[in-house]
Amino acid sequence: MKNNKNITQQIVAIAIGSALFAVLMNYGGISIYTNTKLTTAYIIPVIIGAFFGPIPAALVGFIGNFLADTIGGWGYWFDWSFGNLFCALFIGSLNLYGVRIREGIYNIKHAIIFSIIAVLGNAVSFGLITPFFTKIIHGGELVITLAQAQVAVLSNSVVILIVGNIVLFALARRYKKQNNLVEE
Amino acid sequence: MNDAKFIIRYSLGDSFLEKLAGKTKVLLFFSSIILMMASFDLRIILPLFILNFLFFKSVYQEIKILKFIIIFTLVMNILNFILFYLVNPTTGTELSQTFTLLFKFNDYYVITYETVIYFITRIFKIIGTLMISLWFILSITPSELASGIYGCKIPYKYATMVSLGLRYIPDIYRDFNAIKESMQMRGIELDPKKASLFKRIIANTKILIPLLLVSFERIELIASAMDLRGYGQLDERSYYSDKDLTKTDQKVIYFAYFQLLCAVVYIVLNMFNVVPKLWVL
Amino acid sequence: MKKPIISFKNFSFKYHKQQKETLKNINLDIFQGEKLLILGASGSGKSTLGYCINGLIPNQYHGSISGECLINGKSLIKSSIFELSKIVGTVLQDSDAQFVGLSVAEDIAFALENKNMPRLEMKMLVKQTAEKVKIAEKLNILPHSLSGGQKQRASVAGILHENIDILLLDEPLAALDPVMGKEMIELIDELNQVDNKTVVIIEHRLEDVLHRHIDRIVLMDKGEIVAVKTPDDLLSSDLLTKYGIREPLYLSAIKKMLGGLKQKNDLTNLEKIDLTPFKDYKVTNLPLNSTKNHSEVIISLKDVKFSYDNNEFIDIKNLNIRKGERIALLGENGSGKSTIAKILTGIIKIDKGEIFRINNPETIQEIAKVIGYVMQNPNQMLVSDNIFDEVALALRLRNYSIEDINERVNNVLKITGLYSMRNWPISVLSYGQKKRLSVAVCLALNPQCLILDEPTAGQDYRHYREMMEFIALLNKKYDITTIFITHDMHLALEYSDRALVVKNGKIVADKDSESILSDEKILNLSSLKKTSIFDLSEKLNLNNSNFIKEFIEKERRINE
Ligand SMILES: Nc1ncnc2c1ncn2[C@@H]1O[C@H](COP(=O)(O)OP(=O)(O)OP(=O)(O)O)[C@@H](O)[C@H]1O
Ligand SMILES: Nc1ncnc2c1ncn2[C@@H]1O[C@H](COP(=O)(O)OP(=O)(O)OP(=O)(O)O)[C@@H](O)[C@H]1O
Ligand SMILES: [Mg+2]
Ligand SMILES: [Mg+2]
Repeated sequence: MKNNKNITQQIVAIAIGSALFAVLMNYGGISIYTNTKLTTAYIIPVIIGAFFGPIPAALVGFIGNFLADTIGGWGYWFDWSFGNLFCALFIGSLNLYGVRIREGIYNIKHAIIFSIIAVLGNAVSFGLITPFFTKIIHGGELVITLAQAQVAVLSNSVVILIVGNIVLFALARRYKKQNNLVEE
Repeated sequence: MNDAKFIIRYSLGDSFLEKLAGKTKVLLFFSSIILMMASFDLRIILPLFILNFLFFKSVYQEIKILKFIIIFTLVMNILNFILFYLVNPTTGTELSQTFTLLFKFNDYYVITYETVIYFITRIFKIIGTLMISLWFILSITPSELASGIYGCKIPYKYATMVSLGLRYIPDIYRDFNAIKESMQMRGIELDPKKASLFKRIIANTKILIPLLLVSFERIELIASAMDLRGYGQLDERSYYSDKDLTKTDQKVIYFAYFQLLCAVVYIVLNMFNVVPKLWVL
Repeated sequence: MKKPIISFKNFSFKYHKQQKETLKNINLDIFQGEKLLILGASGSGKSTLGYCINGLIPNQYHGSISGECLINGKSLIKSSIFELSKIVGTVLQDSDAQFVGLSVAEDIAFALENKNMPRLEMKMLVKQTAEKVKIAEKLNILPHSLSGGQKQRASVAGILHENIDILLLDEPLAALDPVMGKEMIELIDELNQVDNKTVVIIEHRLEDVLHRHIDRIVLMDKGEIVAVKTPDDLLSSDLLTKYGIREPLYLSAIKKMLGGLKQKNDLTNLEKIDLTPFKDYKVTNLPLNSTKNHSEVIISLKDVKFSYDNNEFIDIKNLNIRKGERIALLGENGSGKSTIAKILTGIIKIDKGEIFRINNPETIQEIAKVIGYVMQNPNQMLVSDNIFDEVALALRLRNYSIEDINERVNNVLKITGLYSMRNWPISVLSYGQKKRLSVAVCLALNPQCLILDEPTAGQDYRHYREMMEFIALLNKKYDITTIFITHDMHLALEYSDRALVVKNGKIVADKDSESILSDEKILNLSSLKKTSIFDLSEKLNLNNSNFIKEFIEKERRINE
């Protein structure tokens, strides 16, 4: 029975996370290249991952991208959605290596692992998976797609490393202070 | 204060597309987009493009952002094409294995008939995809989307993720504004008239953390509200916004299945190299 | 006798994040078909007790439970939230969060959808219930374009149609106008009488709830139940005053001015109180309040028009607000009060017309230096880590010195009763505490004009009194203009000199508060109500104005 409650919460978390992702994608970003933006949206799957695990994070990446395309009216680009799915899976895997944000556990060691995974995950997702799908869906030119991918990998990695770490440390600190409350 | 920035429909008119049931729209959308993605053949892409362009026209609305998006997509893709061309001027020829020279800048930069076809196909494909996406968005409400996804035999929990997400986007946008106003009232200047762009960017990121916290706290509350009203207790669910399928719906659904069939056939033929990688006359 | 449907035995609960227990040693039996009111100061644990009935504790909020709680004979710890959702229907205190549907209709239908009810049946039921709470014409409206009161009605509609035995309503009246509040109480009563549902109401507005019969009242304080009594027993005791709860006004007047109660029964209704012992009471002719002469206009509106959609809405021909004035903004739910407040503070950009504000500020930020604004919904105002930082934020941004900040923040936190929790995160606060915090944020800034959107909604008497007295003091000392939006007519009488009545976006009356609040025509027109003090005074054939003034004066003296 306990499980059921988690399911509703996870569904809502995925929904709200996707909505946030979509809003940040459309609102808080600067376009730097086709389909590529310098955006803070990627910290959403990071946080969802920290709270709820990698699978919900991956769904946030995928559905969030779908919603972003929807409300932005950019049209659906499933090659990028799949890239996002995998990228979110990687960067949302924090609780697999011992991060417990709700208990305030996030330290330098975690930050290093997170950073490495973030860069690798980005490289795999946007350097391999997205170009692969672009090739089969749109019959694109590999050189261009790869160039585009490199820009995406680079810009995403930078944002995730900087903003992601800042937010994660901030959240961990916040939650740590929130226990053992007493009137004084 | 208004949400014109987003394209989300909450109530619908009575054009052909808008009147269809959610399930029909979802099926038609997916079959169209899959077919469009699968093929690289102008004989399929062109009619599909025309059909979907008409669909799009029937639900088109004067929304400023729409025009901008269409122009932006066009410009970006044309830029992309130029890049494509500069990198590899004979893409089309390589795909179709034929060479028909039209024009020659020098020995490397040549324009072949095949490459022209390639670019034409590609642009129709991309604009066509955009048209499909746009008519779909312009003709469906979040709850219809949910009931439509559920109607396609996908568990309703997934449908909820999508539709609830869509439903909360305006709320998040409003939260963002409310937090912004609250911050402004406390003394952060965010008015374009008074603060420089750089300052506003910095200040906007300060809003991010409260926005995240407010939103994440919401998760608990919304989940409680849903649990309290029995969400998830059964494997099935009915939808208030659902409609009975009409005869028209039935026909459209058959058409959607037909498109899916075409896509599957095309993909299979393509795997066995029966159809050309790029169709040229 | 009957068997209890809800039963707490030596029940305690501690939130995971707290060091101390929030509910202590609760013993309470609630019987089938009973109508129960839970009273208590803000933060005393009423909502928490409610969570134990509907299963949010332990399913959603984690913590440690000791003792026993049986719902319908089954232990709370063993029941799933689904099982409970079939027995208990809840209206949460925070009606924003309650709203999960895309439109009013879909939200009302949400529980039915989850039961997989066929669509036709569902549509009929939705229509019926919407009519019951008078929201039928808003069925296709999106949640965010509802006013605070409209939202509350919609969320009540969401649980009305189900076959559930227990209704749990957490402050169902907080945002309702007096007439709608009365109707809501009648509706709840009907559900209890006709459908024999067990009803548990959590409310601060005791007098309004007592409009209809209540079986028992549970009084809570600091997480404990201090009394479970019938209304008459409770009203004739002095427990309410002791625990800082507002008594019905007429009783308060009888107790404090007329020499005390002479009867022990039938206290819940002024009509039934024997007033003969008080017939000889004479009011002293109080000297007319030397009303200060307000001259300097600090805000003025001319031909201001604004609409959310294409329908005409706000239309204000001419409105001047002067320095030092105390204004109450009254009107029914959805009449446009909050909208006007947002216009004054520049959050809403008007479509037409002119607004003048003293010092000619232009941006929201500059306007806020002149006009402080407490929004109706506290959730939208609070952005910081903890309570102290929340209040300090604006002061820090305005470069006050550290000592200055500490002093000011601690001062307003003491006034709003939040000082002991100054290091707590915002997320654990009760709704009333959040609201008070949002008031504190504004008070710390000491602006020239203060606009408070329902500052006392969801507050207990003691806290509300302290807050309002402080605001009155600011007004006296620094000549700060105060404008507050309220549905509490007595509050308006006590703390304002001038009242504006809003209807359909227009100001339909603008006079001194006393004459507005005794003008039946205006009151009826805009869903307002006379307070029971008026009725009492009329029954005693006294001069209303003097009687009320004397009452206010007496109360103030007692509280000091
Ligand atoms: N999730 C939580 N975690 C920790 N403490 C909490 C939580 N929710 C509430 N509290 C604390 O428990 C106490 C009781 O809160 P509760 O919401 O039950 O009060 P209430 O009586 O309903 O007040 P109000 O009238 O203001 O709504 C408060 O001091 C509050 O700070
Ligand atoms: N953002 C919005 N978009 C569209 N309509 C809105 C919006 N906000 C409010 N309204 C509508 O404007 C009207 C006035 O709303 P407002 O919030 O000003 O009412 P109010 O007088 O404060 O009511 P209450 O006492 O219930 O808080 C309502 O009918 C509401 O439906
Ligand atoms: Mg409460
Ligand atoms: Mg309001």
